[in-house]
Amino acid sequence: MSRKSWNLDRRTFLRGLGVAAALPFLEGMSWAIPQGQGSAPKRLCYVYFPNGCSLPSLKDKDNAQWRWFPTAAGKDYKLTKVLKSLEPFRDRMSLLGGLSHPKSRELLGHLAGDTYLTAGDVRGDRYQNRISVDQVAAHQLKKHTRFPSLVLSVDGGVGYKSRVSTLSFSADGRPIPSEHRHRQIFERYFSTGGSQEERRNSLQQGKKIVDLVLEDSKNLKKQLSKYDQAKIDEYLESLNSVEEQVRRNEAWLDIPMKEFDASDVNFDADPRVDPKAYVRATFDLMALALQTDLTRVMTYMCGREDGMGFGDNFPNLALGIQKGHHTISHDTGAGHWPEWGRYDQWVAEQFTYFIDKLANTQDEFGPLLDSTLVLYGSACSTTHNARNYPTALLGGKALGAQHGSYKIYDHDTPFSNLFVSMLNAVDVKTESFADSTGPIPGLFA
Amino acid sequence: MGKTDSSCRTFGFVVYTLLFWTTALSVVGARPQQKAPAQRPDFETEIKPILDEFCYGCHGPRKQKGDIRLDTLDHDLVNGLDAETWNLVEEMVEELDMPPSKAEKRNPLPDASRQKLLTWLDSSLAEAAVAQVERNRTILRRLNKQQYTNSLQELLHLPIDFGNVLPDDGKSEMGFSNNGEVLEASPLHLEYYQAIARQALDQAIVEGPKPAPFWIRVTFGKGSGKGKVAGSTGGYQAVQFPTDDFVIEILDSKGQEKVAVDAVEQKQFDDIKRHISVGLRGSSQSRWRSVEEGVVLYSALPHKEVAPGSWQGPSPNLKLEMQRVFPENGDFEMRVRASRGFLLESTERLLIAIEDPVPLAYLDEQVMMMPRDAHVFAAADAKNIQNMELQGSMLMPVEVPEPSAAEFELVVQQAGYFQLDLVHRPASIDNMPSVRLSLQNLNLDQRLELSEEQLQQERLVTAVGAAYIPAGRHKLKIGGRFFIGFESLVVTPVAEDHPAVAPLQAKSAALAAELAKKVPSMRAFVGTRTDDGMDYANFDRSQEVKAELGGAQVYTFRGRLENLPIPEPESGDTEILSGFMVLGLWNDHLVKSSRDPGPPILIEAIEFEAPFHEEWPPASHSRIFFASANQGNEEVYAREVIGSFIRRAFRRPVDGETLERYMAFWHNIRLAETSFEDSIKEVLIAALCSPNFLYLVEPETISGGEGLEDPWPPTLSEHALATRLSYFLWNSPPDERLTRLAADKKLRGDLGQQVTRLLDDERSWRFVRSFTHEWLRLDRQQLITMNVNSYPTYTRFVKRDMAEETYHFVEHLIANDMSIFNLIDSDFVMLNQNLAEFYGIEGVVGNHFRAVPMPASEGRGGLLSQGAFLAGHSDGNEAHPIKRAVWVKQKILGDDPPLPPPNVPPLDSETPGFENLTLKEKLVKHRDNPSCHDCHADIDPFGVVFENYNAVGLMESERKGRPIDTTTVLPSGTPIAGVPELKAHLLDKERDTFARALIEHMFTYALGRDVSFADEAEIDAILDFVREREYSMRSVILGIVQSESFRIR
Repeated sequence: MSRKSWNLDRRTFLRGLGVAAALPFLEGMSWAIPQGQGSAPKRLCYVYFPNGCSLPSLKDKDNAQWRWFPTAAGKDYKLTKVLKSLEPFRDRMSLLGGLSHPKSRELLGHLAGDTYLTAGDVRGDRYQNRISVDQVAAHQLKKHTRFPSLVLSVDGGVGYKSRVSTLSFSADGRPIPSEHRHRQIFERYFSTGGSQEERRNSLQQGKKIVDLVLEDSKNLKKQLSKYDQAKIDEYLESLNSVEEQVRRNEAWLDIPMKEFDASDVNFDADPRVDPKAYVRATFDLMALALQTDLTRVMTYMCGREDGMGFGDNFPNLALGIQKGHHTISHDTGAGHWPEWGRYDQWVAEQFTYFIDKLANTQDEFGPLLDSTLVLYGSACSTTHNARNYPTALLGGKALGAQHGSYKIYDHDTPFSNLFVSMLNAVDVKTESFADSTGPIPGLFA
Repeated sequence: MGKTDSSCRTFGFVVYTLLFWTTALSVVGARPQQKAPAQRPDFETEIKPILDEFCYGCHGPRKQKGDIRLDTLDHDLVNGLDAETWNLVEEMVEELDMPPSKAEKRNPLPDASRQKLLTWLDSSLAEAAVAQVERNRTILRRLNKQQYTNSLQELLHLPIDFGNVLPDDGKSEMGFSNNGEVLEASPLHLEYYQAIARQALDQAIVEGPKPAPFWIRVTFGKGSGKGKVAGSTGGYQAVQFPTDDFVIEILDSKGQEKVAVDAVEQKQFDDIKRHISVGLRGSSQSRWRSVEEGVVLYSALPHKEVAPGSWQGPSPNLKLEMQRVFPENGDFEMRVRASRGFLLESTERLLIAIEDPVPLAYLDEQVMMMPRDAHVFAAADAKNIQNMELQGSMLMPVEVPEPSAAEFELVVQQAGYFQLDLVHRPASIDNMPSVRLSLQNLNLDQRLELSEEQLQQERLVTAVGAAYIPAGRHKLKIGGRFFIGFESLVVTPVAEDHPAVAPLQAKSAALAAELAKKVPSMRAFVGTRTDDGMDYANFDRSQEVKAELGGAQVYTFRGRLENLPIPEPESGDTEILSGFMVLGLWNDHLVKSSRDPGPPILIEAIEFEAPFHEEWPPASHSRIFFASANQGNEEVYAREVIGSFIRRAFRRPVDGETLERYMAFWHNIRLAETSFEDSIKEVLIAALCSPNFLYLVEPETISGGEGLEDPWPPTLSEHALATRLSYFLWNSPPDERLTRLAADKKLRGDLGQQVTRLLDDERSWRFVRSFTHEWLRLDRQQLITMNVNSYPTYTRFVKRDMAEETYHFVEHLIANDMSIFNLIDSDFVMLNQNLAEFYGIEGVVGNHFRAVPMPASEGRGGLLSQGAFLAGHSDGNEAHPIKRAVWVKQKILGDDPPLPPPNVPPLDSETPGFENLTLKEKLVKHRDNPSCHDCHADIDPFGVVFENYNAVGLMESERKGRPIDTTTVLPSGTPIAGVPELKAHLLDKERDTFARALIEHMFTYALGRDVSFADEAEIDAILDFVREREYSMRSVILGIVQSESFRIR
């Protein structure tokens, strides 16, 4: 059966005819990139965990150690057991409290997962999601790399509206399918063989079309009044930039991948058996992608909302808790806070593995962590409460990030304000994103 | 050089003007006339001193009131950029609005100075206008989103919403998205154009024989599906249709049931069937029933617009749920076999509350008296007691919030009506005293509200219900949560005409009679299952079901899958709840209350066939690859195919050079492509990326064919005129008739007839919708989030129909060439049943919009009383007089009020009693603030008159407990009260002001550029033309089309 839908098939689109340009773009037509050219790359990673987090009351002495958020605000915050593994990165990390998307605050928490990176409006009668912030960044940063972005998850695909399995949404607000099979990801993005010829052919085709249209336009221009000529010039300018992109895309085909070592990636980790190895393999690939400057934008949805997908069984597989992650998040029985807190702690440990890797992997400009902003969080705080998102921001020392404290923002602050600041930090100059009211204060120099 | 140039232009202009007067009799328009060199005062010596003394104080270096600064304006109006501002200055000074009254008192501007200033302004502006006209031409327009979609649809014969993925277009200052200046083509646009063109042609051009459709039929009937294979879909809030009650058939391309040839195929068929289920998720169980003949659906009750229920669809909705077994593109048909249905409940099955409860038993000095034939059930004799204990003679709940129950056996000798009275202790309403009665699977829940007097008594008797009970033994249960407890239950037979039940009987009979007069209808939808409901969209029209019970007919709904929110392509991982397409319908005779069943429908069967092809190859293919004698000669045929396509795509003849360029491209491609069709496809994709297609090209220096060689200024070519006209009145490309007229150079002489023809064509709806939407800012009403708790009747269907009302209203005026003043007030309203019910207007039956005569007293005539305007200019909670006033000023009076200055002090919510102030009172407070007063005195009156229309446009007489005051004083000093007097005022005093505002907006839309001061003479001429034709709607359109700006330049 045909799987093609009118709404542009993003895969064809992205890889398609050159003009669409999933492929890269080289600064000033110099093929030397990525090695040793220009300044340090600036990159963004977004890592999401579902179902909110353990958040017992501070007064609950027995359980206070299982709060996701630290116990005091400011520089002197104390990490609880949950984020303890991140302690070594205190000086490269900020914890942010109070943030949420205004349009999602009244939603059932699980649905808020659909809008985590979009701030879209899915309250009403129609599903009106919008472009996600990573894709805004990818649209500009793609010119530096082979691929605009990597969209990853534990489960793959798009899930379905209201319970998606991807964090990324295209310009028209449609979910971008996420990928999760490590070997396939590796073969598709890290190998230079395979579909080379197909790509080259489609680029050729695109180039021919652009050439013809260019001639057509120049010819038309001659027939127009001077006012209309200015308008056609605008079109020609856009056409030129498309043409340049086609050429750059073509050039990438001949550039060998930067050297890398993938020998420690476990391509066969099974999420039904060994979640730790499975999640870490994704983090390994993400670190490799940054190291080789394959892309500068990545999202990773580390589990689905509402008891769906592989992730729901991770607490059982990893910690022997005989409940699904979603059930744990709803549990009110005795000992439920430690159960939830322990799982949050486990997830944080896997994340720490990634951060540790970025801190200890260098490219020619220094540790990857210093040139990468990594956002870590979820779209609910406690059960179904789509406010006060648990949020940690790591890395980006070279991008002006000012770390070291736990900041609690006014609960009316749009989460998108953080997006605005992060975009600007990677030189995607942005005044606003969705319903933002400005940059977030105090995080960037 | 420059001089020669300009004299040449002047010459051209004169020639042209002559031509205009001598040959174009029915033509509208006058170009600004160059006045004889007036005695223009010298700026430096004569004008500047006046400005310095009287104006710069407020509009100079120190202050810039109203954001206007005069001392820096360029006083060369011809070459400078400030003519528009000077034009404003002239208006202000001429109307004596400036200098303001306060300043006038202090230091009056002498009449002579005012006159001198006006003379200078007048003459400078006139000169500037002549110069401006040259610049004031339509700028090359890119097709906007809607035009792009329409153009591709016409070109390819594919009804797909092609443009939906494109970024939104910018809007001009006057609010239109077809403005050449504003429309830009970013690299992103170009990327999309190519991707869309490729995918569109992939769909348009087909290969091989007609593909077999996915064709299924689901037939309903209680018990019919026993032992047959079908799917069942559970999950959160599932309302599953029993698998025993329907049968799925898989049909072949002739519509016959496929019979499996072997076990393997049987397994395949069964596998498909297991992925098809029937659900009514979001439907109340009491509004549908599976019966022997099919499924009975009551009228749909719109759901409350709050997430997550807002995704459930109206109740009930019946749908096929197909998981991963549906095609994802192409036209499809849904065929529903249906007839009128029947009521599920009858008086024979009844347990109801009594409207005016009077117990039949009573207590006399604490001794219970009752009718002779009553049954008395004492609490002490109850069986199966739950959560209750005896306290003396009373049976009382143990845990009050928990459900309680007590059971009695009731033996009825003769079927009939019975009243049920309860003997109990009093309890105040704070205790939420409740009673649940259960009989024959029917439940009746009631809360008791006792009077002060009753609360003083030790025991009392309350009539708690009435029932029709058939002869035989019955279990009668009493209890429920917050049960009040009881001593005994008295069951007394009553006559059929007893006051307690007679109204019920009558009501039930009347209901059936009433419903027989109403006509049910069906509306179809397609969507994706979500966790909390579905993301759906309707397709095709609502269809009335007139077939009588027993004589079912097939109703066909047609749609295009790509335009509907079908599930996203999956990654291949199978998930329990993903990949579900829903295809369904509801009874579209929408009702307002769950007590109203509406006229029921009986659904017997639903068929789904996709893709559905009426012919093969489809028109999309055969229009490109048409039959030709030269089909055998690839080279010649390619030239024909490509030539024909690009002529249609570019909307004009194509010169040889261009055709050769495309042919060369084809030759180049043909070497690489495997098939002829594919090689042509590449060429056509390129054509659809060319500016010749993407822009409304109006090439210069083409003779207009009016007997002049190279006229100056250049005349619009006939083909460009055809394009202008069809994008004005159809928002789509010219048809063959227009193209032929243009080719024969006969269009310019036939404009009057062509305007009539285009307006009478169905495609003129595109103009009506697109123009009306942007002109009247209908987007505001669509975007506003209304507070559903305050306005529960403002459902999504009312919201939709409000916009439809306005579209149909404008369309009706144009179709019947009625007076434009109907826009201010009309003696009819365009309504359908749903909207009429919302407004509280009776007697409108059915979903189609029609003109309903309406006396002025109803206050519903004209745009000013339509929901789309009123609700669109509220804040979602309350009416918003300022928004309404600004709209009236802009759209009706053509006057753009200035934006509020920065740092406007907000209304002071610290004022004592602020919460209780009406908006009008708040406005008065606001106006007390001197910095706000000047502007608001001009604005507020136009909003205050609407105060008796609430946020959703319904009339109310009081707000916050106080009567509403709609009296106000217009800026002219005329006192008026309410909308009727505003309408009367507008019709009396502002006829030409309104006509002008309408002409300006439509002129702007028609030409794709905003109007400027230089257009004034032409607008005046059109106004004269319209006035002579008694202000008819079509005269406005014709006047614009005949104007020089549209017709010639």
